Amino acid sequence: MRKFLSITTFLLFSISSYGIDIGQTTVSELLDEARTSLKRAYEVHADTKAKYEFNRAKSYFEIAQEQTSKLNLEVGKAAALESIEWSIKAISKSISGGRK
Amino acid sequence: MRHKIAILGTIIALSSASFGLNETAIIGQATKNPIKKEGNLSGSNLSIEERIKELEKNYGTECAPEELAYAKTYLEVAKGLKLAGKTVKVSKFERYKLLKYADLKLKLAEAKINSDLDKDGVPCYLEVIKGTDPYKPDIALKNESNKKENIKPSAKVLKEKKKASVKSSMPKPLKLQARVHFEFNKANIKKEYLPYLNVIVRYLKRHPELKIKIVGYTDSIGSKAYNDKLALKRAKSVKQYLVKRGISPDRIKIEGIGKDKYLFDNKTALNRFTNRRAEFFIMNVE
Repeated sequence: MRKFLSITTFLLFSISSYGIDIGQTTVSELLDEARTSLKRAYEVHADTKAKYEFNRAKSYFEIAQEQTSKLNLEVGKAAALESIEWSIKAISKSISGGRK
Repeated sequence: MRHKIAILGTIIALSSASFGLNETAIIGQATKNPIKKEGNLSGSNLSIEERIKELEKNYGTECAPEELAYAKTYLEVAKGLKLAGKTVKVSKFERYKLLKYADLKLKLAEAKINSDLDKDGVPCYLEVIKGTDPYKPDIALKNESNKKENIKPSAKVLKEKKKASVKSSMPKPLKLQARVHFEFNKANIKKEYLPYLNVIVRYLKRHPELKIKIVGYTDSIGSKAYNDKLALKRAKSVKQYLVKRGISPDRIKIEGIGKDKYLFDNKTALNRFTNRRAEFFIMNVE
């Protein structure tokens, strides 16, 4: 019985940490997307042309990573989404000319 | 065993209470005293949210974008983020930690606004007001624009240049950026201004024929008599530094103007900080 309980707990834990949700975007997917967006922003020189927006995206991404590692998946998801939004803002500002 | 559990419980309760207290102390600073104390740019009496607003007003986005961005993010996460219509929150401990981080970032941002990022002698916020680039020295910008434009000078400009060359045989005024700003009700020189003063010392040593006058100013707060004294004290402290670095006291005259000749109005703390200053002038040439 004890073995069964420990195996079930382990499985539940690993499922929740790797974010295998059915029909929903998982934290790991969102984190990947946030990382890609941040990379794209960096490639269009948003780190110099849109410093504020780029750093907002970066800070949200760092928080998303930290919270996910602490299994605070909801906050991790929300922070990753915010990071993606700010990356998009940074990209558009950088492409439109950015800081004078 | 029960005794041990009780002790453990008490420790946990006490620690969580202390976190709660600290947190409310940080968030609720504004409710206690929402008025910012004059001259204190670290804004210890303001809540983090108010300090961010103040920074945004005072060109924080231009002078310290990274620090401001991080502080704002920390604050937003501490307050709670929205996910699919509901608010998700971090733990009390995390919230306390995030607010501390935000506080640190804000302190850095506040320092950056007054600092000279491109080392051309003009503080960042003034460069933003002037419309110059705070990340490039003004001289470098001028050189760049000259190279780009490459316009031939007109006859009028040539005339002016001739006049200037005639004048150049006469003694030149002190063209260095020579201004020292002070904290509220203080006359001691801040560490960050010492490099600029050392430049002045070198300049004066290179030109032993020059005499200078240091004029102290204050902001609008306080009585006229007190401010006059304070202005003179500020000029005196700058003189003392120059003398200590080897400039003869006979070459330096001081004056305290006090509550007059403001650079900006005295409505904001930053403007008052700008007005509290000591300036250098060439007095006469022998």
